[in-house]
This record gives sequence, structure tokens and C-alpha cells, in this order.
Amino acid sequence: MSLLSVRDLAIDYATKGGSLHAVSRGTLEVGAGEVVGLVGESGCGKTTLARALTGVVPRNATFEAGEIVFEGRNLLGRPVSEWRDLLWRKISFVPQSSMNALDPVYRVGAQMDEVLRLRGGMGRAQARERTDELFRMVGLDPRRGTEYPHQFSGGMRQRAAIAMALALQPALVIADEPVTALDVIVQRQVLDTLRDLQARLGVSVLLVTHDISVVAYVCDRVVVMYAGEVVESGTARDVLETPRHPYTMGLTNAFPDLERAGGTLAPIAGGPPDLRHPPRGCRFAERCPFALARCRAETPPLVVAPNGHASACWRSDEAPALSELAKDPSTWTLTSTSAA
Amino acid sequence: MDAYVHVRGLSKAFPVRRGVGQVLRGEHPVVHAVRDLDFDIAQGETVGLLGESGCGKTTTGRLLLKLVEPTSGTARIGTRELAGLKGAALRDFRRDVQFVFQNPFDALNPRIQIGRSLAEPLINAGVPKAEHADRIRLVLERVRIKGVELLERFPHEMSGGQLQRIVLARALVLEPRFIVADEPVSMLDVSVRAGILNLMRDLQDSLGLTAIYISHDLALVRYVARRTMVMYLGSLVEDGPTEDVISRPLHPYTRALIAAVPLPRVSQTRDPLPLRPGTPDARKVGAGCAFVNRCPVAIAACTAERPPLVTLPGGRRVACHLMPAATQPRPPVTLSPAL
Repeated sequence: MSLLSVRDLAIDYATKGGSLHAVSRGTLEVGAGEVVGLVGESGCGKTTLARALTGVVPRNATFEAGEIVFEGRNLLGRPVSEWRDLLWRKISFVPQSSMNALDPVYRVGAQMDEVLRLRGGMGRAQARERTDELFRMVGLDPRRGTEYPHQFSGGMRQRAAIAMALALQPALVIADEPVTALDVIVQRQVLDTLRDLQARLGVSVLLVTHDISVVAYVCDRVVVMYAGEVVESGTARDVLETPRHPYTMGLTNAFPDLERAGGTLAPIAGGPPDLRHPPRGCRFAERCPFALARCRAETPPLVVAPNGHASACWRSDEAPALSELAKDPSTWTLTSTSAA
Repeated sequence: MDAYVHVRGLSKAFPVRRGVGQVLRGEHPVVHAVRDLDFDIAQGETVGLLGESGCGKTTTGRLLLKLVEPTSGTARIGTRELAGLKGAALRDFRRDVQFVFQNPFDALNPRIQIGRSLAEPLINAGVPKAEHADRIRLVLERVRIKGVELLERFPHEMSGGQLQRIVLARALVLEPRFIVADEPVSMLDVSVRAGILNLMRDLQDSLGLTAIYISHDLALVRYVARRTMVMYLGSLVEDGPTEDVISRPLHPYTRALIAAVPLPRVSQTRDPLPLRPGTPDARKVGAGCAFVNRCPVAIAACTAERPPLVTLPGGRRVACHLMPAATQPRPPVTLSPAL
């Protein structure tokens, strides 16, 4: 059984221009001890979905449908106190900018201490011991616990945020773009730490990112979102090497690869639809070089293949052939009349 | 051929806040953002300037555009010496050089329409009003934006990719000869990023622009620049054709950078980073090599003396005492994750 199972989650934001369907068909599973990447571009709903798992959503957001089953219990519709009970102890969160995770006016060690004592019910001595242990675990010098967040480098802050997320040994850590703001070397070091700790502690991780190379480096499975919907999911290898949805194909082409001789990168023309008025049919159709009339009329369901590789595309059966075509940059220029 | 950009001994030191003792002793501590840069860029050449945040790459770009004044050293762009440039000559210089900013969402005034943003450089440069419309139409064509109705929009009504094209258009509207692009795609989504990179590549060719492309991402630099200079804490540590730098990095820092670049493929096991634990800190650079505290192959000489940037047969340059020994493969260093 999965540790976390999200099914057909729909979240709307009330905006001046009407309701914005931030997440429409959010479906994903995270198994025990698994690292799952949630990939997509800005505005695709990945952060909304990830934050929803902690029960923390903006005031103008409403859950419209679906369920969030964690350890066999549907959390949706439960009182806030019940969510709050799970936070830190069962589910913890590493935000994108660790400046947000750490309060700038408190010493880093004291913030860790607070989590351990208030949430974990530890005594003073025990909390101090655990704080030191956590610092060492993520590669920080425990003596620096007396410093303030601004005295830490970006990488150190991110390490501190990871340490805090792991403080009470949760079953699931949700990390929102944990390395996006970091330099390549620091990024690699933080990812190595994350990967190492994950393997040692067996914690499940849901890693939200726009960067498929991060997914390739740390994730067992990947879920791809586009315009509020999950369009593809499967093992990292299946999704990145034999993508079945044209959007994923486009994404993998748009990334430069240092170990492959330079060809031409192919952008995906156009931009995501306005989620206040999502188009009929497949939401990617207007940018998709392979779209048929049917794609613009009917929404393709997320179909799961026997090997667990799921995709929401009417032409999934032709994926191998389309994937070959997608590798040719000229395929993507055909529709680029409305270049973004 | 004579270099278009000619830089010798260019340095910039910024004062840092003094402690009480330093004030009493009359000391003026500084941090060297950029130290003794020597390089030439040929006309029409695009050079990637690669390094981590805080390495001085942005300061270098700003020095070349005379947005900050150097502490010492000289820079010449085209026929103009930057030192002492003022008045009309400075205004002419400003028409010929442009900066492309990192974040398109910040680079344009949110309260004025796109068309006005594009016209502003023309107004400032004293281009006759009658020419504005033509110049703007031409530049929009160059950045492949269709539809003049966009000119009436405000920045918040446009996507990131469109905005970055406008930012580029704004830089190009005065037909500069030299541009400095500072991480121009780092804020963009992947699917539109490739479009901007392709555009930059095409523009270099079609307009014969001389350009510096600043980035921390070698894969992106490789895509737009045939030559790469690597900076570490203010100094150039390596300079050479991008493909050579990638396939045969000479400086230990460049090797670490390359090892750290994420690959968009399901990874095979990757070697540990060839780095010793340590943090880059410009305030703590001593008499020796700036990289010595993180270098896995450092020897005694590296602490004692700064390695000069030497030119190798074939034209590549590297600043490392261990050259050419540094190019020999070394046993991997075990990584401890301290920062």
C-alpha cells in the first residue's frame, strides 16, 4: 500500500477574474521509502498540489474534489487540527527558499529546538542533543547553531531546512524546489546529502521541481504536470527515456545535455492556457505538434500501462514513433506561429 | 585582428564594513570582487563567463559597461578607453554597449507600456522621433515577436518568454555592438528557455554582435559561446574553446564544476565531486591560490603563491601551479558534505 495516495484532486483559487482551476486532476502515489519527483513549469499547479498535502493552502483556495489518503486515512475534509497534528511529525515541508523556512530573527539552533520541543515533546537536554545530531547529519557544524540564518550561505540554509524537516523522523518529506536557487556545485552537494539521508533513513520524499536533471539524479519515480493536470507518471527511467506524453517529450528536448554534443534545443512554442478558462479537450493540444481534432474535443484520461507507466494522451499508443519525431527540432517549429 | 574588447589588469575592490579595531588602526579592509583580469575578445566573438555566485562575473560585466569604476587596470571597448570617458563620448559609448538583465520581470517598468519601454532608449539617445516606429518594428522582428498590439500591453500581461524577448529587444533597439547578458534565461521555464537561447545564437550570427554571456551553467554557456572563461573568487582560472574546456578541463575548479553539472538523463552512478569541503569566501583569499582550501590536489606552493594565468601552446590559458600535472586523472576524493 502506498504511503500517500492522491486521487483526482481538484483545487480552485477564487480570483477577481473568476475561479482559477489550479489543480484539476491531481493523481499521484508515493510509496514507503520512495523518492517521487513532481515536475512541471511555473503555474502548472505543482506547488499548489504539494502544499495541499500539508493542509496549508492560501485563503482563496478550495478543495473541489478528490482525496488525499495518507497512511490509509483520507485527510480531505478533516479538521485543521488533525492536519496540524501530522505536520512535522508525519509530513514535513522544505520550502523553495530556505529563507522562508527559517525565521531571520531567531538563531538557527533555537528554531530547531522549538520544533523538537513543541512538536516532538522533547525535553531541553534531549532537544539540544538531537539538534547537534541533526546538524551533523546534514553536514553542518553544530557550533553554528548559535548563528542567525543570514550568517549561513544558501547551501547551509538549505541544509538546515532539510535537517529541520527530518527532525521528528517524518514518514514523508515534501521538498519544493529545494536546490533551485543554488549554484551547481552546492546544488550537487545538497542533492547528495538528500539522497544519502533518504537512503539511510528510508523516508519518502516528494520533490517538486522544474528541473528534470534533478529528477534524473535523485528520483525513483516522476509525475509530470501540465496546466493543473497530471499528464504522465512512471519510473524516472521510463518517463525520461521513453516519454509517452508529447509535453514530456518536449521538455526532455529543451534541456541542454553536457555529455552530448550540441544539437539544437527545441522550445515548445506558445504558453500554458489561462486556467480560469481552460480549453476543452487536452490542455496541451494548442502547443502540441501531434494534436488531432479529437484532442481539442475530448479530455484524454490518464491511462496506466501494465508496467505502471501512465499518460494522458490520445496518441499514447504511437508514443515511440512520436518520440522519434519529437527529437527533430523542426517538429516543434511547425506550430510556432505564436512563439512565446 | 585587433581585439574588440581589450582588458588588462582590471581589478575592482569593494570596501567592507570595518570593525572597531580596524577603524582605530585606520585600516580600510576591502574585498576583491575582481582581480587582475587580462583578456581580449575579438569582434563578433561570444565568450561565456562561467562561475559561482560571488565569483565576480557580474562585476566584470558591469566594469566592461562602465557601470562601476575599476580600482585599477584598463579596459578598452572598440576604440574607446573606458577610463576618463565622459560627456558626449560616454553617451556614444552607452549607445554601443548594452546589458541584458537576468530577471525579465524586474527589468521593465511595470507601470509603463511595452512600446514606451522600447522607445525610451531611443529618446535618451536622441534618435529622431520619426524613426522610432521603424526601429521598434525592426527590433521586434529580430526578436521574433509578432503583433504590434503587444506594444500597448503592460509587463504583467505577458509571459516570461515574451518579456525576455522584449528585454532583448530593448537592449538591441539602439543597435549596440557589444552586449553583456547576465544569466538571461535563469528565470525562465524550460520550454521557453530554449527559444531565447536559439534567438541569442541567431542574433550573434546575423548582427555580428560581440557578447559576453554570464552564467553558472556550463551547459547553457556551451550552447551560446564557443569560448569560455572560468572565474573563481575574482580571478580568471581558465580560458579556452568551450568544447575543449568541457572535454579536457585544466583547472581543478573547472573539473569540479563539470562534475557537478546535472544531466537530464536517469543517472548512472556519478563520481563524487572532486572537491575538498570548504566554502568560497572572497574575504579570506590569502597570498596563494584562491581555490586552495577546496582544491583536492593542492601542494605547498598553492598556499604560498598565486598561480599566474599562463598561456599554453595552442592558446588555452590556465592559472594553476600543477599545470600540466593538473590534467592527469587523480583518484577520486571522498566527499564530505560540509559547506
